[in-house]
Amino acid sequence: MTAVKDAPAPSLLVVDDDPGHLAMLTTLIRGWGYATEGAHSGEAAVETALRRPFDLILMDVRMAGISGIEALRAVKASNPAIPILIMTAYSTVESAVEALKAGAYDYLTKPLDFDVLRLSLARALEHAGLRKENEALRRELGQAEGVGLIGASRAMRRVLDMVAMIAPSEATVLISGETGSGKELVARAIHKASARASGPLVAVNCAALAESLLESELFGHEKGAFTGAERRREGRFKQADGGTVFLDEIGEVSAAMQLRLLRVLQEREVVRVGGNETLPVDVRVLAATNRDLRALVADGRFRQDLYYRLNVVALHLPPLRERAGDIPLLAAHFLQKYGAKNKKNVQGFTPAAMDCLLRHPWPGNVRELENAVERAVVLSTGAIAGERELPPELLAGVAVTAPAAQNPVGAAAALPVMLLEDAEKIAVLAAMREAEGNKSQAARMLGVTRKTLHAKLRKYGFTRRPE
Amino acid sequence: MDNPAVSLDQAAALKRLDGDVDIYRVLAGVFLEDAPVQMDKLGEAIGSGDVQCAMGIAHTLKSGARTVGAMLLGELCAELECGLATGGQSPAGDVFARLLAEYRQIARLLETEIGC
Repeated sequence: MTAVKDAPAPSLLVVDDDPGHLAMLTTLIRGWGYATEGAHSGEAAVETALRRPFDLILMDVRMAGISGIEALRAVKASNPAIPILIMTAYSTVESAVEALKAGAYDYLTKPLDFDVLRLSLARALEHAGLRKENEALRRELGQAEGVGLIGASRAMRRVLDMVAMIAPSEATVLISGETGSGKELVARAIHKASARASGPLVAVNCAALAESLLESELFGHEKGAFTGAERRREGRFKQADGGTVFLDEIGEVSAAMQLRLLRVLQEREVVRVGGNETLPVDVRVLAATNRDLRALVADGRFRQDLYYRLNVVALHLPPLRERAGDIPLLAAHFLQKYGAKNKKNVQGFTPAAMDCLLRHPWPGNVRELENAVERAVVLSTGAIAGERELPPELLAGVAVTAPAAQNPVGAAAALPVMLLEDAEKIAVLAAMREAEGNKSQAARMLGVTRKTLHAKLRKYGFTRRPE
Repeated sequence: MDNPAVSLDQAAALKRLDGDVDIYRVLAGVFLEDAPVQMDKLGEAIGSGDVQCAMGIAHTLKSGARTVGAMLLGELCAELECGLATGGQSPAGDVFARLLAEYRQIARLLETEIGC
């Protein structure tokens, strides 16, 4: 990787007590576009690193005086975020562990493979840069609006990146994702980070109202427009003037309503029900759906022209099962939220309970997790919530294979072609391992009876015993 | 672990398998074949900061360990998985070191004493 043009070159401190090796490395790395400085000892490295900040340190382990590991600890004490790559002549796992324990980002074995070194430098700098960006993004989005958008997973980081990128524009955004995945939170985050943040955000659930009511709700009505319309009322679009309208469950609206929405998006004006006056509206439209709008268009159930108007920017929210790494972060957040609400000091989950949270496929996504944690807080009598406080469905451990079952094509992409019989053998052993030897549970995972599982175990010679 | 009988609870594993020694031997064989590869991959994933990959491997190792009755190894895998999920890469090295030591002991026990 070479340094990006117009941006200052990343600065590297190279530490090696072999002057020849040090000169060679600094020259080589400088040639890759980095600004380099050398230090001949661990002591000099600590002094230099404390004097001025570097983006990365590349350091030998074995040096006269203090070792690379000791120097690493000293530097990390004052600058924990700096990535440090360690060079060692010992390519054992133990030396990697020692370096990692001391806080090294990675370790490289000597003699150095320069391609690997170049790649490792680029990767470490990219990783450090992403972390900084992510932190900045979180600050930008704000703690309050980040609620529910919590996540350090790659999938969630992509969503946060996307939100930050599209928020300042005026583009219409179509947010898709399963129920409970946080579509409205994303809409709120976009509004909050947009130039319209000081204006209103008006959310309408299009599936919650009958068509006639939805029309009046969105566009307003004149006095006497229908029975009970005793006075003129402004619609949601007009109420959102200068701000944002969030149309949730857009896939549920009727053909007639689709046409009216299309006109609003095209003309930027509304007409109250029972009226003739056209009213200009200055709104940004965000829409959300848990349905496949493209498929609805293909079936003729959703207008293609409206789809394209709404889908200027598409933002897909990953289901929770695809970002399981975020579960502990979300759980901790909800523990704090419901702990405060219920005046309870529940600080965490037992490892077994956390295991359940991590295993569950969460068909109801973040909303389901939030409910489960709220229940755990309410039922918990101590500082740590256990399995017994979790909803019973989380303890069944049945649906471990659900993601693959729901997306067999995606799961198959990771597997080589094999004999069906071999695939079955692998599936049987994998289920037995995942169920930790519990045959009944393994059978449920495989979608067969226990008797059938036993027959398979016999067929493949895994057992000789009768059931 | 000083006491191998504690770290490898074969009786508990066999109980879950309804006392089926045949299946236990098959699953222990699979574990012995697969675990060294997974341990190498786990070390690489931790070293390179690939937290998601490391979590996936720790999860698989955890199930394999518990299946053969290596309960402490399973707990260490669970600790690593949770630690990676909550704290990312930084605390992983310490748990991995303990996990590695425990794994070596279990592998030796399975290979020699159990005869897998």
